[in-house]
Amino acid sequence: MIETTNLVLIVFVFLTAIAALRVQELVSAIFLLGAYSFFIALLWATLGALDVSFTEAMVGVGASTIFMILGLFRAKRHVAKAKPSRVRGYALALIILIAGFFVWGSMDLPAFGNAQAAANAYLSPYYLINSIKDMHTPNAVTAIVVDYRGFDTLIETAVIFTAAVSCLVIMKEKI
Amino acid sequence: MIQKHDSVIVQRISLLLIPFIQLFALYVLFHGHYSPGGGFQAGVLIGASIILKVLVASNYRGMNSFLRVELLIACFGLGIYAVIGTIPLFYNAEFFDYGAIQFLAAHEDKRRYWSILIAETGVMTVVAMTLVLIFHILAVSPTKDSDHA
Repeated sequence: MIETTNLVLIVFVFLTAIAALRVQELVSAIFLLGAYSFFIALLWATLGALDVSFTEAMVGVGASTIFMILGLFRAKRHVAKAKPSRVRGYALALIILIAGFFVWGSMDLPAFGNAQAAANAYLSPYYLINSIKDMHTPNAVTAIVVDYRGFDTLIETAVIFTAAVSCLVIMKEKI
Repeated sequence: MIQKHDSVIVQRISLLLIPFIQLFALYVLFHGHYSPGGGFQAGVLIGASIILKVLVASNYRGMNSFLRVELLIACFGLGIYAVIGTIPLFYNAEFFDYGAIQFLAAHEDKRRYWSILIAETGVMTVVAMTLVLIFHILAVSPTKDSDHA
């Protein structure tokens, strides 16, 4: 059942991504990107990564769509009848070659959910076992993000703050 | 040059939704220990609710004072997080070792629990204010702004 859901979602992800590239009107492309983010969020939800899925649904579907539309309204638009682009043979061959390399490389990865894999064998069990004892927090993701890896999250928050400051510096002369 | 939406229905429905979005954001923040979510997601929700309010039901022209206030609140949020990480240093513990903050609670796990909540509140403040700030900068173009003034 989960496998079928995954396949359907992957098909929708591909369809929306290709449609966002091929569509002529930019507003439609932005909304198609929002739909793409939504399907990615659903895909992550079926994989059990609910925190990531939640963030994708919030930021990918909501915030970035708003920002891209606002940016589109600020930009000067030159409407030109673009010719529908042809699919070039050598580009397609190159993409298939690179995708083949990726698939070839992914052969060596451990299977999804493999308990013996390096990522699942060394640090994850410690977090999962100790997060309730150490900080009374059943959601291990919160425990990892804010406590075990608190320094990383501080810098991440500073990065977000830097985004705000750089927007101010670029777009406004003075506040 | 943000104007009120023309339709009264859209205005009213959006204003009706905003408290529920913010309540859900607080739920995501305070329930982050038990369910998916946390400071980042709650911050985006709070920011989105403020953006919805500004988009639908406000007439804004010059917003430079708002920008200053938002930047200050974002600084304050980053400060909350940095301070809660620094306090353990005064108890001879390591940076971000929340378990050493003695005045929060009696037991070490409860200290970490409350410290996580405080740190997440800081993250939420930064994220929400960053969203609103970028929205304000993008929404008010400088040329049209000076036309109105």
